[in-house]
Amino acid sequence: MSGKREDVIIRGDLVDKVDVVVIDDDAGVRWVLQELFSMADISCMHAESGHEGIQLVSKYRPPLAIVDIKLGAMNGLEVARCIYRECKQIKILFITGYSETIEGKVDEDLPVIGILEKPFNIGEVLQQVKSVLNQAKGSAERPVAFG
Amino acid sequence: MQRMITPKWQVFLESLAGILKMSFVAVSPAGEIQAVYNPKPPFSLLAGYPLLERAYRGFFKEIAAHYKPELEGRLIADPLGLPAVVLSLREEAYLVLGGCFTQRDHAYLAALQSRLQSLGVSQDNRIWLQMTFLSASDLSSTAEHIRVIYRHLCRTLDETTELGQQMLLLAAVEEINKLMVESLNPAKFNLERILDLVVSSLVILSDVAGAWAFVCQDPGKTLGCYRGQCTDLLGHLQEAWEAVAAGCADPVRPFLSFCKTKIPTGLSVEMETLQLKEASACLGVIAGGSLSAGSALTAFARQLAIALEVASLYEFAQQRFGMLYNSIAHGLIVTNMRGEILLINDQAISILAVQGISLSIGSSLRNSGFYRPIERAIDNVLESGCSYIHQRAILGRNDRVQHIRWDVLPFISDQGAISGAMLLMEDITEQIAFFQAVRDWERLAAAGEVAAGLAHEIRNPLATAKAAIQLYDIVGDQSKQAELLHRLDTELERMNEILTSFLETTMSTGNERMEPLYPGNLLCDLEALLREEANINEIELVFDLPEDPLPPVLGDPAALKQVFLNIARNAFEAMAEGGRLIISLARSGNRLQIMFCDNGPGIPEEIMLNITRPFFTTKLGGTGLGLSFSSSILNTMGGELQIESLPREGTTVKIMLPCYEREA
Repeated sequence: MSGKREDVIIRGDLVDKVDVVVIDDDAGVRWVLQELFSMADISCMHAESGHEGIQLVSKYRPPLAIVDIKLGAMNGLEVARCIYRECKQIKILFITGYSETIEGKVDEDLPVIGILEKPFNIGEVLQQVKSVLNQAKGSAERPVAFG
Repeated sequence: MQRMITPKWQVFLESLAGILKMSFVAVSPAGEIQAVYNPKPPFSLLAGYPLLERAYRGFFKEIAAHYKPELEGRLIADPLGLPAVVLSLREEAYLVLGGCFTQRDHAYLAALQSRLQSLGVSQDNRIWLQMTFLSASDLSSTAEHIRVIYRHLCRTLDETTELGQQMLLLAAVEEINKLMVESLNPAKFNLERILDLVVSSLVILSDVAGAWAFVCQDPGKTLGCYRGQCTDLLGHLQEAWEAVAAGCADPVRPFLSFCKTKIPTGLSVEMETLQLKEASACLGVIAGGSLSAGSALTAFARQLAIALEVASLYEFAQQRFGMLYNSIAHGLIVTNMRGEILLINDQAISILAVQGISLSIGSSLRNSGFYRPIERAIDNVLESGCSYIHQRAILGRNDRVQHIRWDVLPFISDQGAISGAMLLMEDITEQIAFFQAVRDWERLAAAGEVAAGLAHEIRNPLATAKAAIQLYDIVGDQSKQAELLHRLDTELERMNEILTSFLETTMSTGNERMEPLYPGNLLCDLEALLREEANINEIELVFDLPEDPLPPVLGDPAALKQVFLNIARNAFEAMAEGGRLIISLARSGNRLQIMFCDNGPGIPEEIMLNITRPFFTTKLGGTGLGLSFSSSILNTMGGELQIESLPREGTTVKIMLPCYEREA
């Protein structure tokens, strides 16, 4: 498993553009999302800890981060705040194993687009991710017109 | 049979003889000579001269037979023609005083000589020379003097007799008091009886041989005679008493109120009654003759007032004490040396009532069918003075189940002797139910917490598995499909592992199998396994177990082994770079201490706070159940888990378990 992770990071190093960073401490979840995104031709990097995830985000500045709310040592909400500080144009999609709401727990200025409850439907995941990526692509193609 | 002079008159006559220095004779009422005092002629000659003796005996018989009060103090001539005076000592005796007028009157002496001669006394004796010479007036005044002394003496003696009777009365009162004191003795503890006696009874004292009787206020209730022969009186007394009791029903009249009632008996006694304060009861004294009923009654009333005061004081104390001992939450039973109940409070009565047992003062717990160990404990306490502290008992069955905490303690007197036993019982049925409910609630809360963790843990593999199934349809590549299936199998296995750990945590608290066990032995059982794992992880494992045997602890051996394994494995995992783990066992007070001391990286403070919470983990792939499970196992065994950690120096996990001491 660790060999695979390094492989991905090497592959990530090779790519110049990353669409999604997945931060989840569960290897199975990381693996399945990786498989899904590669089939949909979405470039993806993943991390098993918040700390690692923040490093990836600051390096690749992806338009989307998928963050597990419950991470081992570092809370997913905390991780999301750090990510946002690093990269202001990023969007965040939370995933959670608890049936919980994050209202009131998340700073309102955080660009959270939604919460995915485990177990999730891969169709819905793809749809949400693609919509974010399309928006990002649009805004990237159209230069900022105001100043 | 000859009547003897009673000793008190003998003393009187002897002192008389000492004063008078003259010869006199005490004669019985039948005319017999009782004694001769200051023996001088002629009375001293009687034994030697039968004729003379016969003459004098005749003379004395004559006096006794024909004595008239007019004779008292008058001069008469005796058989020798000498002057004599007769005095009567009531029915006791007659005194005959004798003497001679002159030794110089020759005619008088010649007549005397011829009379002596005719009665067989030789004239050579000149016995008149030994006689007491008195004038007629001297003799008369001496006689008068004796009569005064005698009357005075009689009056004194009468008074003494009366005093004696009063003493007798007081003795009777004392006896009643003793009876009351006896009634007040905690061993009898019958306040009703005391009050019955003191307040509600008529006490009748008789001066006849100190007989006394009492009758209860309820005229028909009791009529008893305690001493003497007053049965004949009782009928009359009862009638009189009923009349008196009817007349003094006013409860607030002053303390003493005398009234006199004649009792129509042949003995012509008089009854005085008095009313006692705040009680429509009377005291009565029947008196006859010289007894001063009033003074006896006053003395008696005084005694009773004291007794009454003591009784009311006692009642007051009793009420206060009653309030006290009924206000405590414990059931309290006090017994005497025979195991008979002296005191039982309401709580004890209600505890016993649940078991269908009714006990009261005077009865015994022994063979009451209450609870054998308590009965035996009381017997042992009474016998040896030992104590039973904080004992537990479960009484009864089904709907009568009571959980009792009990103590039996000896009562030790000032002299250090055992004087009784005290049983304290606390019904802790509700407490037990409450704590059971709290435990259930805690378990539910823990289960809720665990279930929330479980949901998250299960949903990770579930998410992966579900996604894998969905991907299976999308991918066409067979090798990819095989990978997905393999992944699916792995995730399902993970779910199973999580559920197994979860069940271990929750089931262990509900399925307690407690037995005495030796933690040292468990560690020895685990040693081989732990050494193998330590070798793989390049860890030095040190066992520090004492050679001396340590007391056992109470617990589930399989669960405790699991705890030891969990903690040791945590240490191994923490020391990924190798290190040393020391496992030690020692006694600390009444607890055993098992320590797992590693020199790994230590645990950060923020993690320490959550370390035993279910599903809290910092390990990749960990369930977060290990320490939570261990902690809950140890809690059920009455032990605890302490974790001390210093960053970069290592972690010490300390298990404390209470020693299991078998009851001595």
